[in-house]
Amino acid sequence: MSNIIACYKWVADEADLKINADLSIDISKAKGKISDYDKNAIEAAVQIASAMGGKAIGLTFGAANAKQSLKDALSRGLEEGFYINDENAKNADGYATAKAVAAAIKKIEDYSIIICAEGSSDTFARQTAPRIGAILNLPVVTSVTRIEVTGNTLIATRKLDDCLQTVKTELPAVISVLPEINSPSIPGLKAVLAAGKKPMTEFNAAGLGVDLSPKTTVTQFKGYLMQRKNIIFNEGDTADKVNELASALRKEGVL
Amino acid sequence: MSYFLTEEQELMRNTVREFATTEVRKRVVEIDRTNEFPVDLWKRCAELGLTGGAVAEQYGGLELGATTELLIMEELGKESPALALIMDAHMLTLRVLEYYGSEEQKQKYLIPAAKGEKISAFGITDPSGSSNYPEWTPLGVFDGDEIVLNNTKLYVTNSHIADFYMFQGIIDGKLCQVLVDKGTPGLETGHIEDKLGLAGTYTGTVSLRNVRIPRSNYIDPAQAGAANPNINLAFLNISVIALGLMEGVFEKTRNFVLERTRFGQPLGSFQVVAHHIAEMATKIEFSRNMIYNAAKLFDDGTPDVKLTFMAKAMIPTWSVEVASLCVELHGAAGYCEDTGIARYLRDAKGLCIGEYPTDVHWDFIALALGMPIQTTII
Repeated sequence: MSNIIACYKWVADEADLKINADLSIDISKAKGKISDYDKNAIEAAVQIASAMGGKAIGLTFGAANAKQSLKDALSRGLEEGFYINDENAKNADGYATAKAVAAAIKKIEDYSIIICAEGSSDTFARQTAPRIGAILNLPVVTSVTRIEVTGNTLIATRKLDDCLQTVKTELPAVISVLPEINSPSIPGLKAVLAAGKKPMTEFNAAGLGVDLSPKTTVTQFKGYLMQRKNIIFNEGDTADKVNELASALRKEGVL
Repeated sequence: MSYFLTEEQELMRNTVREFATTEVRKRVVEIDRTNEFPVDLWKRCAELGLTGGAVAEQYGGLELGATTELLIMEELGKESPALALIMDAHMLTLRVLEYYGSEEQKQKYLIPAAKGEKISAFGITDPSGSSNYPEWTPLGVFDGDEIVLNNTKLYVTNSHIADFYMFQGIIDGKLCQVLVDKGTPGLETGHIEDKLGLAGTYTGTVSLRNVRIPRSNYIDPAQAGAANPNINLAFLNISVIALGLMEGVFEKTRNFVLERTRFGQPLGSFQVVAHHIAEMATKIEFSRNMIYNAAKLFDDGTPDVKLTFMAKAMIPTWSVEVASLCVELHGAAGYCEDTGIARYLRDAKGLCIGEYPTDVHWDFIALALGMPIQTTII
């Protein structure tokens, strides 16, 4: 089997975000991390490569600071890392991201499965996998919780709102996985030290021959505050209070 | 702090943090309640390379250096000071083996211990006291090619789980160490101590009655020439567990005072509470600077062991103060075990006592400063 490509995103750690009084979000102190769900994509690639043969490789699109993600990703079992370094990544939407990633995949050439997370842990737009499939003209399977590869055929279980769906497709294909697919393993310190010795390749937009300007513009990025309504139901007996509570929750759309 | 960490060090710290916040965190309450050694977590530590990371590569370690070793212990200490202490006790044995052990001893004991295949315990405390060497009873006597051990060691960490023991004592008038395998006839373990905190670290008495070991299990530190200053990293290790403990309980408390309201306002908006938070954060930052400055000097090959005494004297004491204040800021919830805050306070006290109590470190510091004090410490 050829390369199994895990796509991942270097995102701001939400634990470091600060919401200002005007609800604007301060990310200046936020450290970067591999998007939580992308760790599942990486683990899936490593597991498939381990079971079926082939090489698990990582691919990310980010600004200069995303370069530091490579060792982290490679410590998680990937054998090689590819990095598209472009400042447009800071404002990239699904269109630009998929365009960049697809262009890099074309350069990598030899691939059988492209694995993305269902969405990134910062914006969770769920755009990348379907768009990569569209650009590369490959079948796309989303919401995947289980995969089985036999020869050139991929059988995937999809978790939908009210059922599980099993689909079959020929490779190469693009899949997006849900966190249920696996439990990402924590790398040992030896793997961390070995990561720096693994091959890494850097691309840029010019080299890939693509314009990575986004199609959408973010006009506002705001935090939200949870505000308590402080309603106390203390009239009548217990049954009345419960009924009042249930009515209020229905009114709020909670029930 | 990251300004002087390498990319690998940051990554390793984050890796251990990931392990601590996922796998360790969910086990701490149970370990505290049952006082059972966390075999599962030990195995995971071994798999991740944490059991002997500082040991030389040729002896099964990763040669990580002082700073990285301390980063590992700090992250473990945030979630489970007990697990960190288990590692600390193990590392103490490994250090003596690596610096003073024979090649044969390193092959037999150091390599499997560094890989975590064997757990070690270091028995130091004589019934007359841990730092009271002049009154220690002899550990044993030489008998041809053998050594016959007759002694009792108290408060031995990892006492009931160890695959092998290192005992420190006096033989033939010299301070030395010996290695004894579990199951050697005459070696018996007493009961597991019921401690105030740090549950899960088996602390117990080990008795040696006519225990015969080959003379090749004898370690004479003096044979190595000058004492290896890296032995003193043990004091930084326990200090950094105290730092991790402070960070762990502080973070929970800071979140609590921001969320908990009084008179419709967060507790943290009251100046008295805010100042407590500020003071605790300052103690944490002082501790961090103290420890990693000392560690850097070790890594640079210019160690100042006085700093390790200073760290040990001050930081565990601060950890008790910080944990105590955090309990109070949580109110009754902090005093109850379910919130996990009280555990930090109980654990903190043990860190003041392990690796010599605070007052002994004041002696060490005074001696290092040339004070002509009376002391029994050798």
